[in-house]
Amino acid sequence: MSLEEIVQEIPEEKLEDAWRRLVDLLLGSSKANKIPAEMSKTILSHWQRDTLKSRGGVRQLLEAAFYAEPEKSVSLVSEKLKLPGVAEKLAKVERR
Amino acid sequence: MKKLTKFGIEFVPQEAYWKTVFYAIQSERRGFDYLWITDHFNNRNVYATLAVTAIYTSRIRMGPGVTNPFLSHPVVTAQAVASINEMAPGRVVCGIGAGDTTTLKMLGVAPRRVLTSVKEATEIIRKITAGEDVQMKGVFSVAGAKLNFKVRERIPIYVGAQGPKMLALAGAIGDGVLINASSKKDIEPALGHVREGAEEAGRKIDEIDVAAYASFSVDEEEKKAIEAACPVVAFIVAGSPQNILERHGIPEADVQSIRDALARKEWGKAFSSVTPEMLSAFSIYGTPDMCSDKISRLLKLGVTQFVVGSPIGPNVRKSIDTIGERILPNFK
Repeated sequence: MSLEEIVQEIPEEKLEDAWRRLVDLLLGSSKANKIPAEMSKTILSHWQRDTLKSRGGVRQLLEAAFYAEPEKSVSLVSEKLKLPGVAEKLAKVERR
Repeated sequence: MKKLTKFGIEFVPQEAYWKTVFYAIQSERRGFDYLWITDHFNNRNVYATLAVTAIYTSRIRMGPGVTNPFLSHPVVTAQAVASINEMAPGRVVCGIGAGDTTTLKMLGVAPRRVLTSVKEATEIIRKITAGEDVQMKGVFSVAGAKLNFKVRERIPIYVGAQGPKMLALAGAIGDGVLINASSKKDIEPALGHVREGAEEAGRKIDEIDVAAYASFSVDEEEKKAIEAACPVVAFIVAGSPQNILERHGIPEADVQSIRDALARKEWGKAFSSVTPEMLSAFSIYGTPDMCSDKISRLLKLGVTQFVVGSPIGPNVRKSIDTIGERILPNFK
């Protein structure tokens, strides 16, 4: 399952919470330099247009979070967003 | 509450560049007027950070806060701010001061004739960015330097100052002054020196943007704000000159214990040794209401720009939102 497909499974009402938590994970991460340069630019473009809360924005954040903090990303989705089913699918993406 | 027209925010570009730019975009959105990026060789380059920020923002003013004339020749600083001005026309300012002796020492740079250097650097930057052909024989030697491109907007120069003579110099030559201070005990005498310098130069203090550059920490929970403030205050205390510490009645023994702990890299001990007196002397911290009250007191003294400095809060993103929602509306 692709990241795009997994993000589609995040309920609309959870997107606001998702982007904030993912952004805080990234901003607080000491491994943020692992995020590819193009991806950080895409995140900034989303932020500039205030579209990080969109499904596309959340997808970018999730992908970036996977580079910087893969385990924390999965537990964030499972425990903070309370979406264990989505987290399980994410964990499989990570293993690939 | 007295209405303040300007709010600034300071970032230290010590983490991945995009984080600073992220906070800059957010700060603009939340109503900040000025963005100050610190300049230390061991962090991300100040002008690279400003260049990217210029592209991702459209309103906020920005500049080095502050650079110094000892690592970069003032002509190069003028070139850098002029180039940023192409990306952010009319939004660029330039902060310049004595520099951080700790990092300069690492490079074998021992600043000499500091006042004259800052004065000459200010003149050079101002003339170069105004398109003038600069000739100077002083600390700096410049023989006919001129940019090959035109700077269409004037770039205001702010002098970063702490000591009486630098404060007076700022009053005499600065478009603004950046005073590293958070309390009335430091701001009041500082303003006196700025005023004196201005008057001696035939200016009025009203012509100068007086910015209080304060260590700041806000959170809805006071305890969390304090926890975030302590590390920064510990370093400020350790680096403060004796006369400033005496002014605040901070016992030498308490200061020495922090210095010793920092030297041994015993961070927990150093940070937990910060007393409430130290916090009050060297930072503005607490809930949004507490911070608003403290800012308001500074404004009454004549401060015209309040610069929110490190650490900003326990969670920088949330704290910027809090400032935008709960503090700025009290002053704008």
